[in-house]
Amino acid sequence: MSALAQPPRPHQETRGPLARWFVAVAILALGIQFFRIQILKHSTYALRSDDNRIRELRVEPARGTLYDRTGRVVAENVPGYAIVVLPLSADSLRVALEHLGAILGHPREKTERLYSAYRQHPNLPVVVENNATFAEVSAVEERRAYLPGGIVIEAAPKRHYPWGATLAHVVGYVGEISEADLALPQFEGYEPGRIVGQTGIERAYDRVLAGSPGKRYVEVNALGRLVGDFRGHEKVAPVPGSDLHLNIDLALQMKAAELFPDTLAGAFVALEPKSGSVLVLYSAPEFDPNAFVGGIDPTVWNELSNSPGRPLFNRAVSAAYAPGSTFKLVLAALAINDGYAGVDTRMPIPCRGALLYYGRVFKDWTPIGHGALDLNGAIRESCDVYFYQLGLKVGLERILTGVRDFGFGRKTGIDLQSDIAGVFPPSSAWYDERYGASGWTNSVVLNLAIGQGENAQSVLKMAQFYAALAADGVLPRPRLVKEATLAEPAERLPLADEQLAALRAALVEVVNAPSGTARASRLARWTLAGKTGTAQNPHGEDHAWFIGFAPAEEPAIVAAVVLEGGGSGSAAAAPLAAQLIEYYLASQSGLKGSELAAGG
Amino acid sequence: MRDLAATLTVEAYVPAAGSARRDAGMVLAITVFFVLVGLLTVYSASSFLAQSKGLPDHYFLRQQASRALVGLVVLYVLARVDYRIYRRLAWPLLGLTAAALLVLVLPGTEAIAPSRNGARRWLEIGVTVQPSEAAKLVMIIWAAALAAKKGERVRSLRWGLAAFGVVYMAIAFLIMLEPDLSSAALIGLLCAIVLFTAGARIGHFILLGLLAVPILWEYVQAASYRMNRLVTFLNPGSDPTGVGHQLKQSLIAVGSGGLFGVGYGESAQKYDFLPELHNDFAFAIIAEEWGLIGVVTVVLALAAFGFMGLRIARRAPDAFGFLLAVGLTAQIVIGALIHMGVTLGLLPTTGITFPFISFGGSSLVVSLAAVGILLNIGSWRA
Repeated sequence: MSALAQPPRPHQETRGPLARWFVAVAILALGIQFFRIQILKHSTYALRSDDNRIRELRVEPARGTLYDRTGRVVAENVPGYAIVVLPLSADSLRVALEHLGAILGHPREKTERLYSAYRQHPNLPVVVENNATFAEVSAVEERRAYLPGGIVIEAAPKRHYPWGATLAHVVGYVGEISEADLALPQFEGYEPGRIVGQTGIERAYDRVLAGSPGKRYVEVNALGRLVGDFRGHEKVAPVPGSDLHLNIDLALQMKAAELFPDTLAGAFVALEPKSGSVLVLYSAPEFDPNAFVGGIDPTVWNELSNSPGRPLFNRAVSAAYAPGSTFKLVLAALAINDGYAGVDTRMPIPCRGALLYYGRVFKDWTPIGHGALDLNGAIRESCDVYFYQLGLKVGLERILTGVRDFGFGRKTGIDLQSDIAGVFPPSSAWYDERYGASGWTNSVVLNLAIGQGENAQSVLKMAQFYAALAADGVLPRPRLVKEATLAEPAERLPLADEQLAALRAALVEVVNAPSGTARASRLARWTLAGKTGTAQNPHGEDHAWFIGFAPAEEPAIVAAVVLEGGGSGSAAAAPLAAQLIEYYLASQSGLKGSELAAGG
Repeated sequence: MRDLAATLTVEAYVPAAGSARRDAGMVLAITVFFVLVGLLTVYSASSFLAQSKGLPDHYFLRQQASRALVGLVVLYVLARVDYRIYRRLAWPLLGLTAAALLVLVLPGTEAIAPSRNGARRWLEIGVTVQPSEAAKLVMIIWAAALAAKKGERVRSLRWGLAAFGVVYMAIAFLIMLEPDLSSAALIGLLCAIVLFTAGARIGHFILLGLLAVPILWEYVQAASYRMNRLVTFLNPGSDPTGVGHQLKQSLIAVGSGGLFGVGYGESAQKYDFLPELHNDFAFAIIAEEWGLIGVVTVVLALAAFGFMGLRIARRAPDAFGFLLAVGLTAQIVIGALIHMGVTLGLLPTTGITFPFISFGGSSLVVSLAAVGILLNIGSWRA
């Protein structure tokens, strides 16, 4: 008890201040640090706190609906689900993707592809499946307890094409944006995982149809599991895409599909001559665009892409065919315009079934020959020998440059990205380059003159030219979408009205005169004008062409059809175009099929 | 034994008058304030954790509240028990603590001393207790008792500090075997403060400290996580996803609090970003939710607690009371300072709790017991 009530010892006195200093320094250090972190660096840390736990999710906008010209829906949205993984660490994401891949039955490559896409954009949510079925969503939800965090299921509108294959090449289809597309200026500002148009209208008008995605914010915990909506940031509502109305006449399109022989490949196009409105744009064989929505099954894809018919290829717009005799009108127009011929001009050598040119025999399509014909008659009977001579008369150089005034050598200007310019040599230098200066002769002009040789045009291009013949010489820009506005004024053919009328008269005779090549296809109620074509096909049967318009007096429709390996234009192609035109004109004037028959 | 009986009677408690009584009242008020802040913080910090484990959101709050109740009863009782009894109980208490620590490290006792997260720190005997928390209090009592008994001799190395060193080493060794390095180090620091107050020479501490360096170094190297923590402390950016993660997340919590805080219950860091946040990083949540205003309030309360505690010490009726009050005050204040230092990255990441506030029954009850003893010392007239 000796220590009890001892007075403070001297050395203890000095220790009091020491201890106080020590405590003061400790508190000061803490105070400075708290001030530094909480006040000076507050904004930095507040941001990092947000980064920690707030994830931005895209809210898919509803894509614009597509209607045909009569207001029928041709592309719409139906409810669907997307399975999304929030940004996680690379390892956690891999685990999540592998689990999901197993549940959804994804092939290994898809998982790898998603993983590598994530590595390029590590801060964006990964869209694992943007078209999940209810069964798939249920399967994921059932296993959620065992799955890693960060898996979110979202309502995502899904594209549906009610008319399926019939409009496949017009409307196209949508799918997840590819890495290659992301780099295109057209898709500037798009994020990976976005659904974009892959072909057709869906692609050409993606900016209009897509709308802009909204944003919502969710809070996650350290494991990436969703805690709930984050209310701190305002949601951004998605802006739905705009609806578009097509010029396509769905009934007519279906008629074209019905008329087209099931066994053949080819294309069917119909335009309104003055406006360029595309009424029909049909390519055979077709495919079901719905198969592509949400990612196509690899076996279906292989089937489609390896099929010899190449159903994904848009033959109406992107295929270049030798135009055959349908091109004779281009040469005729050029010759008339340049003054080399009038409709009554005869050629020096009458047709005896072939023309001998520098020791080479150039055959007519009929060995009997057509005898002596003027231009009008040569068009009517499609006399090759006449056009060989006309071609020689106009000359190669003039033909090569002149056709450009009639719209050739460039794209049609249709509102589809698969538009092509066709093949037509720009100058004789082109031949030098290709065959060597001595590797070709002037005889190429004979082939060009009858739509063969180095001459390949799309069905749409030919339809465009005939539309100009039908409608006052104005080359219409083909338009699939009503809302599409034209920046530049339409071009005119360099033909006077009477010259156009003369050419139209010749085309009327093709169908209606006793010796016309398409006489079998004349219509009872309306005057059909047109031109047949039978293009030689080095790979097999001839391609059958017919391009026609009616009524000849006041053309309301131009139809062009090509049947690959279809044989003769007059037998195979002309009846199809005639029936399509008749169907259209009948429906326009309110006639029914029975009345049509009675009238005939 | 008669003395012992006498000290246990309530009559032995003589209420102090005037300022001493006010000091005790302040200490009690601050303690109650801390306990309430602790309950609020534990609820905010743990409700998400509880729910994610499928428990009701108030699960951890109720646990903490029931222990706070037990602790306040202990405080009330100890405030009425003459503190001088601990001079005699020092050695028995030390023996009891050593025995409990021994149970933790012995093989074959896993039934009552299971391993959790790779450490055996808890005894499960009906209630779960953490002997190393109790060891803090007991070692302070023992150090104060011994220093008071040795008087001037604490200034000699052989008769003073060496004896402390031997006992401390034995206890620290057991605690480090759990392993719980930070508790062992904190106990050493608290004992050193008591001895320093008693008059031990600074030179001796430096000498002992130098002797401890190789032992500590060996120990730190033996476990990679300790090395990682140390390296991360010295170089915070070195490992942002691993050990640095806690510190990084703690700084984000503190920093995003700003001046006024994000608001109670609005902590974003509680969604598992900050592991162990309801105990080792409890203060980070306070800093985040209440901002600098809340931090300053807590620090001021802590400073007031220290000030009052030391005043009680100065007015203690004897050297033992003086030393004991200093040690107990240090236990609370130093623990809180270290906890805050860790939160701010000023000290390496250790598992030191903020007394009264951090989740954990043993820490809470022991801290309240310490305040009880402190109040009793304050109740005596000098």
